[in-house]
Amino acid sequence: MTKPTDKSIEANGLTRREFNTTAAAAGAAVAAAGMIAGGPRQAAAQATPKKGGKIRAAWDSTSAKDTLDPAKTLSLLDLGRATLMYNRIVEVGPDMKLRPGLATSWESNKKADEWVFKIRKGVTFHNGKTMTAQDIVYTIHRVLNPDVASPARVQIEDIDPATLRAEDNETVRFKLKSPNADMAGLFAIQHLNVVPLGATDFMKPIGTGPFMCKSFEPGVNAVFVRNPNYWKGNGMPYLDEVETIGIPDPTARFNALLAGDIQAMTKVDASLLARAKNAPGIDIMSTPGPAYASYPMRSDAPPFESNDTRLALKYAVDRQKLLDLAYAGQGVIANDQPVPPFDPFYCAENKAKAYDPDKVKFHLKKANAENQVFELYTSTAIAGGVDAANVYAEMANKAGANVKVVVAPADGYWAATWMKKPWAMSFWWGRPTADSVMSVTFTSGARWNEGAWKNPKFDQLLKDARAITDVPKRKQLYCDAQMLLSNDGPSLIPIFTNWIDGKSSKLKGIVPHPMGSLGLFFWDGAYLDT
Amino acid sequence: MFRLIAQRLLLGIVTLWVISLLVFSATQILPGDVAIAILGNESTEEARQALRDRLGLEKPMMERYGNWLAGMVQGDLGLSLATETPVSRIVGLRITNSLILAVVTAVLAVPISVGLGLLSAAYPGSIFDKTLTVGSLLVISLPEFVVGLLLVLLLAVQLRWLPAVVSTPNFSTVDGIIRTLTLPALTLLASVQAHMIRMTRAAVLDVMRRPYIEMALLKGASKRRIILRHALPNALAPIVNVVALNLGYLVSGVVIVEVVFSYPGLGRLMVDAVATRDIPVVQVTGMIFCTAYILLTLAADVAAVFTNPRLRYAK
Repeated sequence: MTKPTDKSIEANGLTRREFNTTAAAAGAAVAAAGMIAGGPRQAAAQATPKKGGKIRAAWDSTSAKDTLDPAKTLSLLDLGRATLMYNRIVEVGPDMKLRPGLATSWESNKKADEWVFKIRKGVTFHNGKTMTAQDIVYTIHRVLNPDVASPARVQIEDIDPATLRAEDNETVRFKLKSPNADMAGLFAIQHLNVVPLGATDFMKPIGTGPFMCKSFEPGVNAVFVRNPNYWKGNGMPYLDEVETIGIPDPTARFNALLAGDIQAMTKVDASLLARAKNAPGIDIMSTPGPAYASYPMRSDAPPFESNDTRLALKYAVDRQKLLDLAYAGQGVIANDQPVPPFDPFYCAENKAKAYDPDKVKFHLKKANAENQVFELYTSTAIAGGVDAANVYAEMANKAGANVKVVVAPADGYWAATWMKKPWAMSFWWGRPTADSVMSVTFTSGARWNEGAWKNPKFDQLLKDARAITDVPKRKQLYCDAQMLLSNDGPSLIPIFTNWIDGKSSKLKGIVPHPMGSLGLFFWDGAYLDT
Repeated sequence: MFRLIAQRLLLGIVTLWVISLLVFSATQILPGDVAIAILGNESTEEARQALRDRLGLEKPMMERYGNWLAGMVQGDLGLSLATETPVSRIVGLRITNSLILAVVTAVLAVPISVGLGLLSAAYPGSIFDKTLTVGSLLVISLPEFVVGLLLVLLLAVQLRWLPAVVSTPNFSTVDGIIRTLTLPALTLLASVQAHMIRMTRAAVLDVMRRPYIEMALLKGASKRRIILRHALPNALAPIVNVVALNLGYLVSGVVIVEVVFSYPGLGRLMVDAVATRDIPVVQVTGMIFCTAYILLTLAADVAAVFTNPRLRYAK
């Protein structure tokens, strides 16, 4: 079932999609996730961290395109390196709550269209210069500048650049073109890692983060050394040196971990989990995350224009079985909408549909589509996509829906197959806020409206929620929106997949984070226990 | 003889030109969109269009081929699409790593294989000969990535003698060189040895049936002298040929081996560039591999001429 496919192509397919996604999280917060399954649970606070030591960590891709310019981060490797050497204005903790970063506090007016951020005093850049509000303003302007071509520009383009200014060394103020109660959450995206005023050379980058860049060769490696003047104090960071490399081949990466060449790695292939379990000195970190494979049905054309067809196909999956068979159990069941269970605005009353052949047959009959063959396109460009599609088709066929899997080439899948075929799987890494994760693929005018779904009521719900600062009221609106997606929306979304990473058991102090691999690379508290 | 070499050289250039056509057109039919590959799947259409305009991706194909070929001939390899830095710089950083790996492998593989082939020919049908035949054929039946993984499992994961990946080669110390090159070179060695061993054995045995060998035997020459002095020089042409062919194979072998060991050479650069649709880099690396192959076959031809008096004095 978990037959290894061409993982190097798959890895590259993923890289292309590792866009403005993995970084940040929602506004105010409840709930917590970030559990470890498989590896021993470890709390950084319980043991006394040891100082010193070098580690090497490997990501799943590297190329000449690697960059240390935070505005341009594209891959998980870029994200990880940026997190090591820069700081964000606002951070999202492992509990999904916003916590101060280089800004100590923030507030908006009642309408959520004017914001003030207070900037931390006494932080110095790696070159000794003091960090001020001017550096923050420069950083935001860079991302907004179309010439920089930051993938995050669309996420913060509500900021009116003309109003963005540093009132004094500790205050940043700006207005929004339209209200957004989630603005502070958006300031936690990795593209807004703070660079010094006037920074243009990112081969020798300067940041404020726990580690300083010692050397960088795109496509080969980047070496970071301890920043002795790190503002978080407490003796952090503990490690002396972190070397970051990319090993695209999943087996080679895992062998490197087994051989002790590296102490941490992203993305352990599901097919390697059995070997990992028996390996001494290796921990697997499996952390529930926001990533999901979506099966969007184009609702503007037959056979999916009838909601009955879509409902039938949503009832045609045994989600637990799919999770166990196609994802080795490493994930969480989803309910056909993209807001993950750990999100503060997740709607818990909206239960996932159970496998129900009777309902499948009922809805198919209603849609007059009992003999329809449904072609589901998938590819190795999607993590676990081919396995999942085959398992799903098997279940659907038993329930009476004739689903046929078509495997398209991974190379060029996103350009040639996705959004071109009526039913082609996609993969999303999740987004910082409930608003962004729903609006990016489901609002009528959305650029990636992969299901060609147009629902004015849904559009209005999201628009209203954005302009409300009252949390319970917002939650109700988002709940309605999620219900709409589950019961009328175009996509079957059966599973949220876990981040599965590997590390040496000697490497401690990495707290699992729902928004990314290996604790989202917040390694200021990481240490070697030798 | 010089005419012959000049002729071969000219043919080599024509072949290169044909290859340039193939490489160029092959990179044009790669599916997918360069702009999407560079800017990511979630980029905006305006950003993609701006990039296409800036990189001249929508000019007619013949015009682009002409510009590209003219640039290549003048030594201008163009700009990488992904990083917008000169391809020559990117390639320059990697080519040394690949060359070191290929040369070290060649220096090890050729004497070992030819030597084993000679020993095998000296004792045909012996247990040594049979074991060697079975062993070398067994190893060559496995693809490089399998051999590579088996070696990693044994020498890196189980015994921990060597690193499982060599993403940062270190040639400054003896220890560094051994740790960097042993596994990739062994893997490559496994993929080229069998052909050379078998060919050496066959060529020498073929000569051994000739009357002048019988003559040498009758006049009481030792076995060692017969093989090295009488048989080997006459069997040299096919051996040199197969050696050159296998060195050519090394060129393509490094692509796979570099990926398996994450070794930062030209091969991995090419694979990465295909994934990121960095067409100029793919084209240049492709041309370098083809040129190396052509030069090696050319060398084989010339060597064959030198070792064969009949060709040397061809009318």
